[in-house]
Formats: sequence, C-alpha cells, structure tokens
Amino acid sequence: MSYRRITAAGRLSGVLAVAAVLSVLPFLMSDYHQTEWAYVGVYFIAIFSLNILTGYTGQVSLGHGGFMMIGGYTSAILAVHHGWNIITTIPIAALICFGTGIVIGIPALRLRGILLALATFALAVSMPQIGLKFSHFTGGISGILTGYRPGHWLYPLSWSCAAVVFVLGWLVLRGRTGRAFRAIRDSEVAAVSSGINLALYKTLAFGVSAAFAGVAGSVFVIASNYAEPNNFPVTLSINILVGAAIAGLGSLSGMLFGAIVLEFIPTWSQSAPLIGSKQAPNVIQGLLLILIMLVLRGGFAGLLRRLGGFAARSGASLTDRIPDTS
Amino acid sequence: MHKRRKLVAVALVVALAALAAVTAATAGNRTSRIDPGVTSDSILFGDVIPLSGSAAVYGTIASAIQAYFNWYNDTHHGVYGRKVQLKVYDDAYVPAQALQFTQKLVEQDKVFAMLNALGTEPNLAIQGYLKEKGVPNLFLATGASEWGTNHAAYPMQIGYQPDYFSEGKLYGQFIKKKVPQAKLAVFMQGDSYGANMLAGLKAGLGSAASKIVATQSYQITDTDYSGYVAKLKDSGANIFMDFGTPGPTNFALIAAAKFGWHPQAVFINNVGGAPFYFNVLANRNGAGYLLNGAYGMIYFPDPSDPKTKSLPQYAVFQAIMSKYYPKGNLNDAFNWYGMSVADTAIRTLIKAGKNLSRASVVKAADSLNFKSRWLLPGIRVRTGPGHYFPISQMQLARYNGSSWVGLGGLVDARPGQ
Repeated sequence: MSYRRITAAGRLSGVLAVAAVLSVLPFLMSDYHQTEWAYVGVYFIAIFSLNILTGYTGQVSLGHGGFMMIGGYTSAILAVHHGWNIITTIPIAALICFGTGIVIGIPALRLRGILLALATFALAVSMPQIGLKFSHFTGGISGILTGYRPGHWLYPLSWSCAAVVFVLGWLVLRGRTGRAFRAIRDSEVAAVSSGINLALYKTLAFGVSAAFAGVAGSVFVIASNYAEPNNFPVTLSINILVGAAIAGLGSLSGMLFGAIVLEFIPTWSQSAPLIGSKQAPNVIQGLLLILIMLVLRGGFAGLLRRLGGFAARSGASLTDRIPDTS
Repeated sequence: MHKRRKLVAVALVVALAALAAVTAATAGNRTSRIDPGVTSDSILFGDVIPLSGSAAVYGTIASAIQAYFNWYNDTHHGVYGRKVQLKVYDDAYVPAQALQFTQKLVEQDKVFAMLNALGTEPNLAIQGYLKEKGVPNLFLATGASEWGTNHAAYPMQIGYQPDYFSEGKLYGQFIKKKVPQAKLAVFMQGDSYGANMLAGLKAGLGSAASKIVATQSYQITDTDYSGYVAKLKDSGANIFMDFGTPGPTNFALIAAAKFGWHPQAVFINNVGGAPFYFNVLANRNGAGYLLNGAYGMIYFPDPSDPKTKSLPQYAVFQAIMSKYYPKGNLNDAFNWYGMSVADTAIRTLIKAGKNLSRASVVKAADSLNFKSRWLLPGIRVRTGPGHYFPISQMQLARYNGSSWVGLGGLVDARPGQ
C-alpha cells in the first residue's frame, strides 16, 4: 500500500514537472521553435494513441496515419465547408475516428500479430487514395486549405489537446479497462479465462486509440493549415510506430522523447554535414534510429527506468504492472 | 528513490530551460533596417523541393540552381559583391513539410526570399504564411494559373514557367485556325491542372468550343486508362488531346494504339512531353505512329536533343555542370531548367539594385523584360502591371520520333496578344 502511494506520488510529480516545463517553454522560445514544439505535441498525441493499442493492448497497428487523416479531414471539411470554428471540430474529429476505430476493430478481431499489422497497413495505404477519389468532398489532390492563422496560439492548442488526451488516456489505462487491455496483451487465453470480454475490449482499444489519433490529425491539419492527401503518406503511419518504439511501448514516461525524435530527426539529418548524395538524410535518419534502438532497448522509457534505479528494484515499468490489490 | 527521480526531473527542467534560453538569445540577435538574408557580401535564398519521395526527380533543379549560383559567384563576384546562395530543404512533396521547412528557412535560416519552391500544393500550403511574414516567393515551380492571376491577393509571389491555361489556349487557337472539321477528344488529369488546361483549350477555341465532343478525366489513383481512351475513340473524334503527366500520357497513347485509333492529329501537353518517357513507354509499345507528327509546346531547349548540344550556351551548361555539379545528368532537362531559373533570379537581383530589399526585389520581378539564353531563341521573360506570368511565350512543335522540332514562330498567350 505505502509502496504504491510513493510510486504514484513520484509519477505525479514527474508528470507535473514535465507539464510545468512545457508551460514555461514557449516563453523562452522563438516563434519558430514554438511551431516545432507544437508539432512535438501532435506526435505526442499520436504516439500515445498508438501506445494504447499496441503498447497496452498488444495490437500492432501500421495504420494510424490513416486515422489521423480522417481526423484532419473532418476538421477541414467542417471548418471550411460548414463554417465551424476549427477548434470546435477537434472533439467531432475524435468522435468520428472513435467510430471508424470500432468499425475497423471488429474485423481486426480475427487477425493477430503480423496479419493485423498488414490489415491496418491497408488503411494507411488506402486513405490517401480515398482522399483523391472523392474529390467533390475532399478536394482531391488540391485538398482543403484551412488558411494560415498568425499568432502564438498553436503551441498552447497542441499541448492543451495533448494534456486532455493524456489525462483521459491515463484514466482509461489506470482502471478496470486498462487492466483488461494489459491482460489481453500479456495473454489472450488468460484474459478470457479470467472473464474479460475479448471482443469488447479489443474493439474499445481500437476506438479509443483511433479517437486520439483523430485529435492528432486534427491538430496536425490546423498546424499545417492544409488537409491534403500527401500530408498523410504511408511513412507517417510507420513513423508513429517507430516513435512509439523509441518512446518505449507499454509505458508513458518516454513518449515525449519519442515525439521529439519524430519531429526533429528529419530536420537534424538534413542539416548534418554531408557531401553529395541527396538521399543522405534518409540514411542518417535510419542510422540514428538503429543507434537509438541499439542503445536504448525498451526505448526512452527503459532508459528513464534505469536512471531512476527503479528497474533494479522491481523489474516493472514506471506506470504499469503496479500491484492492483489495494 | 523518490529523491533521485526528483533530481532527474529537476535536471531535465534546468537542461530544457537552458536550451530554450540559448535559442531564444540567438533568435533575438537581429540586424535592423536591412531585410533578413542580405549582408554586404551575401544573399540567401531558400527552396523547398522534393529530394526524396514520389517526386524526387525534381530535386535536381535545386542542385542545378546552386551550381549556377556558385559559378556566377566565382566568375562575376556575386551581385554587387554579394554572393548568392540557396539553402535547400527536402519536403518530400508533403505540403505540411513544405510549410515547416519554409518556416525554418524564414525564421531560423533568415532567408531573404524563397526561390523555386516546387509543386502546386506545397506552394498553396506556404503562401498564407509567406504573405503574413512579408517574404517574397519567387519563380515558384508550378504551372497553375493561380500564381499569375491571384497577384492582387499575394503580391509577393510570382510563378515562372508557362501556365497550363495559356498552353491549352494556344492549342485551341491553333486548332480553330487550322482544322475546320475538328472534333476534339480530351484526356486529362482530374484536378486543377487538368481543369486549367481544359479551360484554356475552350478559351482558345472560343466559338468553336462545341467541337470538344468528349472529355475524360483520369484520377491520380488510376492505373489503367484504356476505359477512358475507348470512350474517347468511340466519340468519333478526329483529334486526340493528351493532357497528362508523363505516365498517364504515355499509357493513354499505348491504349489508343491497342484500339487501333488513328486520329488525324495528336496533341501532347508540355508536362507529358518528355522524349525520355516516349522512348521507354509509348515507342516500345506500338504507339510510335501516334507520336510521330504529334503536336506539343516547348519553351526551352532540351539538352538531350543533339541540336541543343551545338548551341553556344550548351558549352556554358556543360562547364557549369562539370565543375559545380559533376554528379548531375547532362541529359536531364530539369538541370537546364534550373540554369534558367537561376539566371532569372540573378537578373532580378541586379535589377533590384544595390540597396536590395524584399520590396525592391518584388518590384524588379514584377517588371522583367529580357531575353534568356536558357529559353528558346526569342523568348522574353516579361512581367508588368496586370501580367505576372514571366514566361508566356511558347513554340508549337512537332515530334519527329526522337525530339521536338519547333513549328513556326513563338506564340504568346499574354492577354491581348
């Protein structure tokens, strides 16, 4: 009991410290860095959404860019074609993606592991094509311009959404639902035999995860002021999975680092001093990722665990596998 | 344990705060009066262009521009003593990336202006931001009419290549004059580019616009075009207008050959008219008879054409490429295109004068009038009040089986010509 209280307090102080830093950060940064960090917020939400599905429930998804696209287009269509304030479209995007996630989650029940990954990959591949096909609705290749809005609102918007998503997600994960998710991840057979409704919780995980991805997509479109198929390439879905792996699947503490890596590696790798080859940034990007994964098995969450000396004591992660018998 | 975790958190806070403070301090270090990107000995342009991804073939344009600038800096000591440079970022043809890298170019790299930003959608993504920041977007690489017609809303941006509307219009005018019994079948891309071409064609045909008997637009997602071509053939048309990018253009020709269609004339738009693709696709699949004698539009010499290799400017091209961009392909028309953009940028800077500012360079770009040796002989790069299409002259050409041969003089799609 007391052990649990300490870790809970420790976790809370960690979250509050990070939140404090993130709230002070924009006052210390140039406009451009604020924009960059707003995108970090977007990737944070995306990684969290995938983490719920893959890290906590054990369902691999290579299609989260597709959910982001649905969320982003929802916002753009409501704002531009129906005159909504674009901020108010974010919850609608989440709702629509929740529904889409459930719909995709149901057939996905029959698939596991690599097959599920491939099925979700199909979503990532097909979404941009759908955007092109129904051009009266989506603007086709020209997409939907939402318009550039100057000002310092992007960073607060992105991180407010991240905070809301984080708290909601944390509430889901800490309770009964989260336990069911983790039980499914660890062993489906064991989960079923302890009375967990596999179909219900798996589809629920898909729905919640897709809803958060929709929020990420919505903020992404607001930030880039453009819903356009090329903004959601297949590589986006892969990058989110890479980011989640770097962060550390099944743990919340490394997600910020995963998001930072996703946002900054493409820029850093292009600024690396290289002679000649135009493809060099891709190579640098790949090498950096391999390096991170070699040095940091278990992602940044694993590193933090080791730094905190927590791993040595219990071998459990900071946030999950906490004894739940109170 | 708790203490140690706190320590880590505190260390994190301190580190991040320090990082932020440093960046804020460097960002605040700005010179007054002069616009960003200009010093007594340098001018910095920025470019967002795909170096990777589906449109990576265009990336070489940026390298060619850099090569030209470096050559010019070495041989002419820059423009009024200022060396001209181009900072390039790979946006992978993703509009969101184009915007982020444009923000980086403007706010971090402090570029003077954007040059040759490539693609209709990436440019749409950045235009609102650039307008807000007052940064010129010069000679952007897309043929949408938008850049020339929307000058009032975006006075600091200007296109470069002939626009699709004008090209379509010239075909229309030519057909109206030369083929009284014309019945046109149009194959086009189902987006703003195709719509631009078709609108131009109709404008050129004028009262004869009803001679368009069939129109089929393909989607970028399509992989088979024979259904469209079958409908076009069945319409009884005697003129086949092929308005696509290289892939669809060639596959439509191949489908037409498969159906044994022998239209009286074939028109192939400039975008799809690269001889390289004809050789690997249409020519190899029995569509050579449709290519021979096909009409098209050209506005700069193709470096792969043997006739181009004897031109005096080809020697300059070769010298620049071999010294400053040895990895570049001499037969790649995009490298030649890069030379022409860089040359136009230099001339614009010279015209803008010694007291270079964003306002003066835009003013210069809006009043250009010169002949470029990188374009077809006689073409003038010309802009002025009410006309913001730097290149609006083209030459009708016929394909002789290996290259485009100019037909008649230059034609001008400029309003009132």
